[in-house]
Amino acid sequence: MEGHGHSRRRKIDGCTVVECYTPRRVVTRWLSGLRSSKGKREAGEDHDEEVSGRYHLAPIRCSTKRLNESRPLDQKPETHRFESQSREAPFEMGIGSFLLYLVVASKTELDKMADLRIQMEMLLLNAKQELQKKELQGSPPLSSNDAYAKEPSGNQFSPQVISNLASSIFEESSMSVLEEENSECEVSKTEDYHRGTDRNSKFQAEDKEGTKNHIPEMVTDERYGVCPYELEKKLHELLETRQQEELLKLEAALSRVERRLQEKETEVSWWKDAARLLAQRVPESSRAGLEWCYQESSITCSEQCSEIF
Amino acid sequence: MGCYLSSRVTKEMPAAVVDGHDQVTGHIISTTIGGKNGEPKQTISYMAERVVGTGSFGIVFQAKCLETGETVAIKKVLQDRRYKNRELQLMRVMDHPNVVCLKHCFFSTTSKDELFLNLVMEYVPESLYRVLKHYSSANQRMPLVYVKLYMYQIFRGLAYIHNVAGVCHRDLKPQNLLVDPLTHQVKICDFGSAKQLVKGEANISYICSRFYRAPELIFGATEYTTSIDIWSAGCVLAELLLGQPLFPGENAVDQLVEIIKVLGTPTREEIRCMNPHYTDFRFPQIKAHPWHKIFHKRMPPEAIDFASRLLQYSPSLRCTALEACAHPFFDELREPNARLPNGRPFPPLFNFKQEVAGASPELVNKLIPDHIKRQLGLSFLNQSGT
Repeated sequence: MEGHGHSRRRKIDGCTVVECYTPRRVVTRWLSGLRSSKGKREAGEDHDEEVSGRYHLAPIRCSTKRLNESRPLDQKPETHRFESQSREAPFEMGIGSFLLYLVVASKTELDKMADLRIQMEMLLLNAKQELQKKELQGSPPLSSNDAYAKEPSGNQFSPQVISNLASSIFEESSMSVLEEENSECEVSKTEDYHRGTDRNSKFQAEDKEGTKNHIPEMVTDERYGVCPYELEKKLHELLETRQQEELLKLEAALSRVERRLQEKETEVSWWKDAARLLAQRVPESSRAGLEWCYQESSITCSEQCSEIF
Repeated sequence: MGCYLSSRVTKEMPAAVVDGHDQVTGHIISTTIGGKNGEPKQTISYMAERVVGTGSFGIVFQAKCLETGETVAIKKVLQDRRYKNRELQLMRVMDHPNVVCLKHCFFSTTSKDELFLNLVMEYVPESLYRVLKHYSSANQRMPLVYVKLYMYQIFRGLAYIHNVAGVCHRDLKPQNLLVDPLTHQVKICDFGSAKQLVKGEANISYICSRFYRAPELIFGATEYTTSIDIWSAGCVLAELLLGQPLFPGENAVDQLVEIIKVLGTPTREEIRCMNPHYTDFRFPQIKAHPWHKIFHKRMPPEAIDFASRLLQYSPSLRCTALEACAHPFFDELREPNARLPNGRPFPPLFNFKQEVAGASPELVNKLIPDHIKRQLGLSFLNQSGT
């Protein structure tokens, strides 16, 4: 919007400059000849609305307007014959409108993203609620997936089966281990397969794949992929901690540099004092003879000077 | 080789069904093998000794074969009668010095009429996890020669799994890397998550254990490649060099944040390579932490270079398992007089077979040291050198 207004201002500026040239009028007339009648009408309206009362202002503004409509035919004579200011005006006008377009485009894009986010959040909420409902009902972890719910339950390992299996090998030794396994199996959730219970749910899932390999796998991939929003959140947290660390590092470095600077400053002030002290003595010595001072070091010089006095 | 029985016996596997009486007798499991195509029937009995691992997959226990005196590891998993067990299918075809070997398998039933599959595998006493713990509890770092030796064998095993078997392990971690404390031979185990990946087909993304999950899996990608194993191996390498996991994190988001702390925020293009669903999100820009600052000062540059080549956001930019084997980081292993610190020879490292089949001649040339080439003559590719 700003660009628009700006270009218009420039345009008017351009007009006032061009006004004095007589060849300009020739060109304007020539351009207006090329112009469509519609363009003329618009120009006329513009002219009425806008400030300037001078009659030759309208054609010029019309010509720039036409340039903004990007007609190379019009642009050529303009760029050739007009001074730089009037050439800039349509260009800036173009940039202005382009910026405007960009703003509008990014706004729609942002709106779309916001919509998508809301939709995703709703979806997640629904999925979570569904999962919670399923858990409350006490159904096995993966039966929340329809693909598995359809499967006959006969081929899943119940805790009982596992304990039977163990007892078939060793009645005592393995029982305690497997009882633990059973209790784990009962509490296992879909997400839990990474933990100690991972084999439980993994098995139940694999069970379908492992024993019925002739049936194509039905997988709803997004269900098992990581939640992008959670990942984004965690990465933001990571970024924050990393930036804080960097900040601390930079602060430490800054304080180090500041300390060094202070040291240097004290050093400088010492030198300054020394120089001032010398400067007080030098004029005295210069009275006696400057040659000494140039040849010898300042201290010996002053010493010698004092000797003379 | 220890895998001798696997290919032959497991074919007869359906015949070998054990009664549920093992639950009653507890410690001894008997099974019969053979009996087909005129082969004599043979009884094998295993005495269970101790549990070495439990999980929802089932249980792994150490057992001794009464007939041969051999120690084995038996993985016992519940079997759905309607389907084939994928782990068994994959393990049957695996035959490599750096992949744990399936010796035999049989089914067993319980009184509750549940069917169990027993995978009898070679027993390897230690895991890389325990070796790592040993060093960290002594407040020490693993000597670099062992890091090289272990990592080389891991990549060789992966080259086989990826190129020959066409399988992605999908759960590579120190717990699943077995180490023989005497020979220092490494074997990849636990193919419970492994799968043959088909281009264009979706796979589940919630595989692989925490700390070792590739970023594309954390982003929920379903069309990933075997390069997820390369990332996991890169994490293992970093852990061996650092003495602790490089990307710890209690949950998926935290793990991703840990990765971003080191590699910086992925670019839009890198995110697109991992999971295009996330390209619309603008994540805060975190600067990458230079690789050389992650490891200690005396870390050799080739180790740092190697880690940086494995841990790349773009799956296609990670080097392949075979390329990894040829990296200068492993040059020390290829020297003519290279030996274990105790003066013993290294476990076999250059007896390549099918894993180098599709590789370029330059790569094969790098992989096989000159002294081995001289030993094998010109026909080194056809000889295994076991």
